[in-house]
Amino acid sequence: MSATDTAAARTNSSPLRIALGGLGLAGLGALGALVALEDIAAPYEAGMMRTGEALAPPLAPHAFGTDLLGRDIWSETVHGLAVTMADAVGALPIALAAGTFAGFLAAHMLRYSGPLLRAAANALIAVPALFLAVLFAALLGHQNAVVAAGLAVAPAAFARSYDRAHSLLASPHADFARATGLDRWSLFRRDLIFELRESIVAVAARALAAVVILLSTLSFFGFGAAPPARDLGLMIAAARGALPEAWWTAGFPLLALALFILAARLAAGLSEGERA
Amino acid sequence: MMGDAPPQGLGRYALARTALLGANLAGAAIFAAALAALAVPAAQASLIDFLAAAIEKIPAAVLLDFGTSRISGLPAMEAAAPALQATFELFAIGAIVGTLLGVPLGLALAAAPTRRIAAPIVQLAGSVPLFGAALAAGMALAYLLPIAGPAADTMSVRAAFASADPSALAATLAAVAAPALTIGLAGAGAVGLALRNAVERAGAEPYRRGLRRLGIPKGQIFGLYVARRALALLLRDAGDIVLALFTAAAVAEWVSGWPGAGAEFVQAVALKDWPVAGAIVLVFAAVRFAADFIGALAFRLLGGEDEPA
Amino acid sequence: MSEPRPIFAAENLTLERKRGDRPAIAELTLGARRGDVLTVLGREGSGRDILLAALLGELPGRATKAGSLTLGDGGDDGPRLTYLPGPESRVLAPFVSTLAQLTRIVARTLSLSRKEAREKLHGALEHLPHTPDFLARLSRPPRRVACRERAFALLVTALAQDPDAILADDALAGLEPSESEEMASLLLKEQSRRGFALVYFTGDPVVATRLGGRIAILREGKLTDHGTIEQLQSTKSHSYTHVLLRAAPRLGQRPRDARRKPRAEPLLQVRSFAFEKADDPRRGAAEGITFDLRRGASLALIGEHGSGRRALIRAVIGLEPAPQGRIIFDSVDIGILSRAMLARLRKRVGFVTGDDRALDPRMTVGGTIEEPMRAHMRLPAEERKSAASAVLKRVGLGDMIARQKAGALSALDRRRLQIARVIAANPQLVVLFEPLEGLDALGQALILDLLCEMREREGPALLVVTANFAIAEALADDALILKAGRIVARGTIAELVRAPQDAYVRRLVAAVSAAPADGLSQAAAQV
Repeated sequence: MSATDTAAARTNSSPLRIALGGLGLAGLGALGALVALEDIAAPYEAGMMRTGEALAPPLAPHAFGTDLLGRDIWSETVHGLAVTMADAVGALPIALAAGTFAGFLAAHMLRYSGPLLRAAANALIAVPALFLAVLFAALLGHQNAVVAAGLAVAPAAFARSYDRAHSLLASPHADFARATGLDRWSLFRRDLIFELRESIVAVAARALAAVVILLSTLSFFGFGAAPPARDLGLMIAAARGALPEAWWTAGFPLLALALFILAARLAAGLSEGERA
Repeated sequence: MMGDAPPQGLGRYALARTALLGANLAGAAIFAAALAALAVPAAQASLIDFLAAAIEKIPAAVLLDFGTSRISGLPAMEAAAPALQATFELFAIGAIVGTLLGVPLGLALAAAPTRRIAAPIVQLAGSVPLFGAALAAGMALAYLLPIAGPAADTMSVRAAFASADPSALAATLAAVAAPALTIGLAGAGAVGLALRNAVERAGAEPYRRGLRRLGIPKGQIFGLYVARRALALLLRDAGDIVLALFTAAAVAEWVSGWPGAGAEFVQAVALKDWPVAGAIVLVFAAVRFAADFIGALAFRLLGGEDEPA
Repeated sequence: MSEPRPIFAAENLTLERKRGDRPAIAELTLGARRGDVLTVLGREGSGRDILLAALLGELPGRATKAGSLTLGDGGDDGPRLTYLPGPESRVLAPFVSTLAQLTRIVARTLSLSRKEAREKLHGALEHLPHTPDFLARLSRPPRRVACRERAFALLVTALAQDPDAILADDALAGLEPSESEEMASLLLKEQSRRGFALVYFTGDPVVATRLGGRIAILREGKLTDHGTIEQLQSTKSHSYTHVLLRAAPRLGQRPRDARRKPRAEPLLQVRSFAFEKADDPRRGAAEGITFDLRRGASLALIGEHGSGRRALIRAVIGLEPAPQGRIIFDSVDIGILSRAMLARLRKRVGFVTGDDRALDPRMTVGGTIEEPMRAHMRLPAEERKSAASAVLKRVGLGDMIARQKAGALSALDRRRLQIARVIAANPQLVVLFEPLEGLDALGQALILDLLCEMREREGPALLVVTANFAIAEALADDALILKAGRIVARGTIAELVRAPQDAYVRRLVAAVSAAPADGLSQAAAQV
């Protein structure tokens, strides 16, 4: 396990980190609230064109300006954020089940096949997760980009979770528990309850950040779901033609995306520079 | 009652790491073989057929033979070679930029007064997804310099230097500037984080006070022991830094149009050119594993033991 | 003959760490000259660490609130003070050659070149018993050097600097009893030969007694008592002095009931256990470890680190298969049991170990005690809770909130928690593995009392694994002495203490006896 992972674990309990974590959760909540009030917040429906002059700059009359087809950027950003969030929340359980939970379970219960799975995960995490996501999206079809992103995050989450469980099992107190007759299943239950209580929010937020980055990059590359469900990545890709003059067409969606990722990173307790 | 296991000797450790490297490479070969097997028509039929085709492909994969590219008709490795070379050139430039930016960044993050300013900036900057950063880098450079994207006849960096033609060199450097900057920024983040952790960890160890009491001055303690320890910890993270740089390379290539292996992989998958995709995957994985191996050995040579991270 | 050169003289010294805090040292008057042996004895926080820091010159001038601390005769030529840490204190960089660091230290303090420093080390080594390749072995990083050799190397380094005084910071802590004996003798021999002053800072009264000389007792920054061991043991000294001196376990302290209980059925039978499979089965059977442990009886396995005691215990409870021999627990040969059955068997075994990492720091106090009850017995929640609180009161944790996390407890409280857990589980066999390790003197006395009480009331079969003869004597009747995987002596503890046949056993017994280390000049004790 690399030093970067445990450094985050070490500093997680400082008051600053706890405050930042709370801030991240609040940010996610705020964005979620915005998305829930999508219809009220966005004056125009998704994809409605010619709401005003094409490529109008921000501030007046459209708060974020308009794009090449006259769509109101503010509305589009809100709708795009809704789609991105929905996709991310959809991919999250896949990443957690196939990654975090599976790793924990494998370390505790699978005596022989566990290490084998861990070795297989090693091969998968040697390649950037983006490559895996692209691969899965191509194999499963673009409409299943959500599943692809979840599966692409799973190997790294599996490895992290497996290593953590393994280090817990090798600790003196686990040795001692075994010495006094505690069996594997009880140890698994006990460790799972403690881990859930202490770090489920951080783990889920970390997976969320990773999944969002992959989903938006996939859409940007053109591997994501096709319109009319435009997510933020697709919006940014579509706006490339208007750059660099009409910077607001890509700028604001990018800002929204960055805010979402920032909130998830803070909630996950990731250090500066640490990858999701 | 719970004892701690004694550390292994250097020789045994090197052997164990080599075995691990071999196993990892084998795993990567299997993965790449499975990928290449998708191209075999028989494999499309069912899962069993696919597995059989994949297993058949493994020996060939070890010999780096993945079949022929659907697009170019060349053997997969040959087809991927120019793209791989382009990526490694980009990688090298990006690594240099990343180290130049990352070392001061890491030190800034480690020292308490500067950390308060540097940390939030890095956290904010790190929340922008790579493709966004690549776009921003391209736009920024386009404002400052007369940049044109890579044209069909843009030479590779090596060829441009070799030809000694100033206009070709300028064209190549112009094309590589934006992606190199993107990778540099990503690399700076990775190196900076690793360095910060290394310095923090090395500085907190108890022998500093002990050695001072025994009579060695602070400066010597830092120079001889703490710095060495920090370097060792930094090298141990080499594999992670390499992975971060690869991801950045793939995105930067796609955005800027630089004809590297990352973009090539995405294209190959889109066009279902599985042999080429498999070849690229194997090379990337192999480089990552090699970096892990070298980093672990360097750590051990600098005196680190196989302690928990 | 002129008076020996003064090393330090504290006159009504009051030192403050932080402004407004209680002074770390208050009105201390103490001094030492060349040739003295002085032990500064006090618990953590008694001010002994501050005094050491002050002598090493680490405190800023403003820390002195009153009084004075003079080094030497106050002139420019100060005495050479050398710091001697313990082998387990992590003073050396763990990833660089030990010898290189020690050479650098000597070179630096004496302003010599590396080569000259190396020669100095050789010179100091000459007078001490050592193996020829000792210095070669030291070129490894400190982690790979045995504890005893590290202690020896640190001593050689200190001696090589031709000190006027050695300030030892619990320099014998972490050594096994026989090693500690050896090092103490060496230290005192060199001290009387070279004539430097030895100022030893520690919280362990046993070491203070072994070193002889004067003892200065610190408590909360004040010097409560001062004198030789005979003076301190007389009735005229402070009551705290008596408590402290008697705290650490020593032979003959706890009178044992001489009546032998009726012999019960054997609970544990170990037959011809060995750490490796012998080539000749018959010889293996003859040379292997064999012993019985009857129900309610108690046996001490006396062995130091590296004697194989850990492997033996792990095999006895079935955590690892025995390479050779049979282990019979409650008439069942555990070699034939499956993993699951072995786990069930281990539910009848309780542990108290000196390694507090054995407790899961994430579990609450209540949870830790209730866990064996929950896992192995079927008690309703109400009964469990009341049983748990009763046990907590008994071990002295009555004020503890059951929901406090085990990781937040002090070492002493964690040890108490381990004992509470064992009492609650009421096992047939209790293994005590260095149960007093890591505790200070007063804590050791407390825990030993609790263990003796548990033995009397619950009466499980007891297996005491320790290197400390006094602990064994307090808790067990019979003993096996283990060294390098072999039994070198066995018998009742009373016999072994009275007439130890083996030299090794003699050293172990001497380490915890009440007398100062023998064969050394008491002249150094004169004030």
